Amino acid sequence: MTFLRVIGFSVLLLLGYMGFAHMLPQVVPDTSEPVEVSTEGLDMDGFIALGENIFKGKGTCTLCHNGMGRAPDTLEMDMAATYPARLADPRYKGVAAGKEGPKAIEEYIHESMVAPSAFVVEGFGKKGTNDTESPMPTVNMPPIELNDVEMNAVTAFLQDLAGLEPTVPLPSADDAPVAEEPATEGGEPAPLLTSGEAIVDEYGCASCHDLGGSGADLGPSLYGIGKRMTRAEVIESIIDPNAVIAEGYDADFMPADFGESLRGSELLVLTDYLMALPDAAPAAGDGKEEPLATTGLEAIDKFGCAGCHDLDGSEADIGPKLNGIGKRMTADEVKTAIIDPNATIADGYEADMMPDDFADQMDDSELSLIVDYLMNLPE
Amino acid sequence: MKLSHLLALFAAVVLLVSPDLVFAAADEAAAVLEGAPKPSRLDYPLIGGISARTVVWSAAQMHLFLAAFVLAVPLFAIATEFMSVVTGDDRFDNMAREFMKITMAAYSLTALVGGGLLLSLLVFYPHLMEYLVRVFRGQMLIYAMLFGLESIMLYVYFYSWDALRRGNRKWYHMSIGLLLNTVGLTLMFIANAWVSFMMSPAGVDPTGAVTGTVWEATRNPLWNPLNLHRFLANIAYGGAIVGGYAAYMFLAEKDPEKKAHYDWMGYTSNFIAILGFIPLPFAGYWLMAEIYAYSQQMGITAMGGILAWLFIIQAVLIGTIMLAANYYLWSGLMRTDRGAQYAKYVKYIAVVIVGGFLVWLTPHTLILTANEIQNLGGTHHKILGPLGIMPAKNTAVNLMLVFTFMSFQLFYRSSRIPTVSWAKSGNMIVVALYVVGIINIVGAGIYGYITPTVYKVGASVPQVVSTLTIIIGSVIIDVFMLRGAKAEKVHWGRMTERSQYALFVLPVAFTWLMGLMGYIRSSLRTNWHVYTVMKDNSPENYIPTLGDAGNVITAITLGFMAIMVFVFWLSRLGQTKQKGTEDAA
Repeated sequence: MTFLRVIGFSVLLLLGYMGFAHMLPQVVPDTSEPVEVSTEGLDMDGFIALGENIFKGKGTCTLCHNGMGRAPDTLEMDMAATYPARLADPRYKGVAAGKEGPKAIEEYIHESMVAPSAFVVEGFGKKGTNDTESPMPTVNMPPIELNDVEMNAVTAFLQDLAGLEPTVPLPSADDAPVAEEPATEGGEPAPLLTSGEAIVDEYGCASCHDLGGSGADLGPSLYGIGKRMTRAEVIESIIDPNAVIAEGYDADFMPADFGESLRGSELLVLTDYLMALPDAAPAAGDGKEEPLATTGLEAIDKFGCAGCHDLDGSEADIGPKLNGIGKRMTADEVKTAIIDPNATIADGYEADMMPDDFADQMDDSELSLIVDYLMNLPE
Repeated sequence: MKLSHLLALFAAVVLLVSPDLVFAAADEAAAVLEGAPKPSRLDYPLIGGISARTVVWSAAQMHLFLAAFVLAVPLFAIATEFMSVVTGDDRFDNMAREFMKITMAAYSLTALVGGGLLLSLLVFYPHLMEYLVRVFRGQMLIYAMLFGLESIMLYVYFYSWDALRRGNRKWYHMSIGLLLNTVGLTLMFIANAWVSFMMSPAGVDPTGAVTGTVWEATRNPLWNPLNLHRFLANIAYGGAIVGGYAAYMFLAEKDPEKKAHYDWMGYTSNFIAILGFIPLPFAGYWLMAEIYAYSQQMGITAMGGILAWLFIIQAVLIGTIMLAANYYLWSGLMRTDRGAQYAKYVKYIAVVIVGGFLVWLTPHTLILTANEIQNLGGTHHKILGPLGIMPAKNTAVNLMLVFTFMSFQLFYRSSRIPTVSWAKSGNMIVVALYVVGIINIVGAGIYGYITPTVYKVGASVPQVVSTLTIIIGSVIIDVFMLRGAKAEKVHWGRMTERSQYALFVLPVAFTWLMGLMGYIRSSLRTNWHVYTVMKDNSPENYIPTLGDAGNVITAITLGFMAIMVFVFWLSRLGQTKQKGTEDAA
């Protein structure tokens, strides 16, 4: 009996520890292999956006360059004033010492990546080295391994951040492709999307643009865009949608933060996908129709609700937040709001924003699944 | 044969097997340097649906558990053997012998699992093994030779116990024990060199080509911190397992005399376990500081990145260990008639231990969803957030250690009445040590809040010094003050059954904790076999989720517990005689 009691006690304790490990948030790893994407055709805005993505992603720069005091908070500091001060600092003996201007700053930034100890900001050196040795890893060496194009992109981003015109060359067709690994440091690692369809689904492009048979017309149709625009223009219109407004459409309508939320490779993969789209939507019945959604979540994804509404953290704000809608509206009201969105307009929002043809697009079962799903959404 | 001859022979063998242990590989500098292998995903053998990583992980962890046990017990044995000589108390000697007998059974299982680990590595990760052999060359053969020597020493140490038990012969026996432990620790240090090399490679160039000597690869930046951490952990682990055994025997025995013996064994083992455990957090800090110094990225991955949640589990495990060890000590106050007068302090100690546990448990940098951030009103909780940073945690840990030591001291004092004339002054000095030390710990903790991040770790140094000063200072004063003290009778065996379960918590929690820390240490390399030098391109090169890791660690711990039960059973089987045979003889 004693033996069984002791074993039972020990096993229960072990199961308790195991259960606790399951109670904590599970960071699901991305097991996909790194993707490589071409940077051909990028204009400087796209290159800067790529640099920002690398700075916050593959480069892992923000692990230390943040407000925690491990390294200078580059994103928050007044770098326009800081760079000239560094170049003029008598302790700095590197390649750009004593020089001035954007080109010298480019040389300084590049040097700080490939030889971080060339200049160590006071108070940020390795302990005991009197600020002569930097704890920063050399970014073109393992484990970070940025290539020349990626370092140039980061330099362009940092120059732009300081209000300077980037002086780095744009990548050419001969340059190495940009390799991007799934981000696993810091915040929750969103899985890296490696196909155009997946990116379009994730970001709900078809909610506003005619794509994948959505027929949406809040933004221009994306079919045939490869013939109407250059690759660089497409990239620009994604990351800075107000730069050029297509005729017949309004400014400030498309979210302006895709440059931040899309990873570097995702931006390029999406661009490739859009550039290769046919001139018109495939005819109905050609076998490419989407299958019926069988769960509420599938239906929500299929119709891209989260592209305009804040839903489970999507933070979109073109339409009202959907979390907690079950407490504000009845199921019938939700159903009406989907099939006849202009019947009642929520305070602070405008009419004619939401497509009014969901009744045609959705099967009855899909409509019911969505209503059930929304009614049960927590706050 | 003289000792000098033996040493010369050993040196000759070393040179023969691995001359580069002593001489730099000068000729290699001239040769074309070959970098580390770069296996692609397809180069990793796929055998059926077997998860290569789980197989190697299980074999490595099980080998480590068993090896820690068979290395820890001789350390434990030599310490208790020494105690028997110093105190003249044969109970120490008997206990040491009893445990060496158990080690004998566990030793062959350790070797067996070690062989399994080697085989699984060769089968599933041949390129990594080829590379490690290239880096460490003859050292692996020396490891094998030392393993043979360890076996010989172990057998000689155990079987000569009775022959070398009394008088000067006891010192010969202890010398054999010392040699056994030296060889055992050397084995551990060599194995540590391989795993620490995988985390912080040295003696190779950025491509992985071997440019240095074996000694340079061995003395990589994380080798010594890992050596110290594992050495202390082994002492604590050995004590915890022996304590668990004693607790089981206490519960199973009906004979009061034997019950008293196992109660005493449990107390002594718990003492040794906590003795090894108290400096462990400091060794852990050193290891972490060296990790940060070697690679900030690696450090942040552990403490503020993808692995940050693991340290919350670690806090739960260590908190459980602290609470269980203290509960056992408080229960022990009933063994003495004067214990009751100290029991009134228990509730205050309990408040500090539980409070410290809760602070340690408080997370800081959380991985949150957008909704959670919105509900929380930011990335950190407004009230609890400040308790999640290092100054609060360091303060909590140091206070927990100080008060755990106080629990020990209370029991020790309960069985002795000082007779020296300066007892009152001595007590006042001890109280002053505690008060000043605690003020210093709390003060340095508050300072940690107002200093930049880079100095926060530095602020922990005076806290550690305060903790050690309280402990060492109190021990020194007690040694002199209680010399010639009036000894009160200790009623060994006068313990509740519930208190014994606290002793089971220690080995179970220690074992699971070791599994968890192994998972953390390996995961720090992320998708590298050898960090920055040899990439892991295998299909399982990602960090498994906490839940998956918890499942594997639990399964291995259960397996280890089953082995331990088997080993203990074997040991008792050896003492069992067939009924009636003695009479017939």
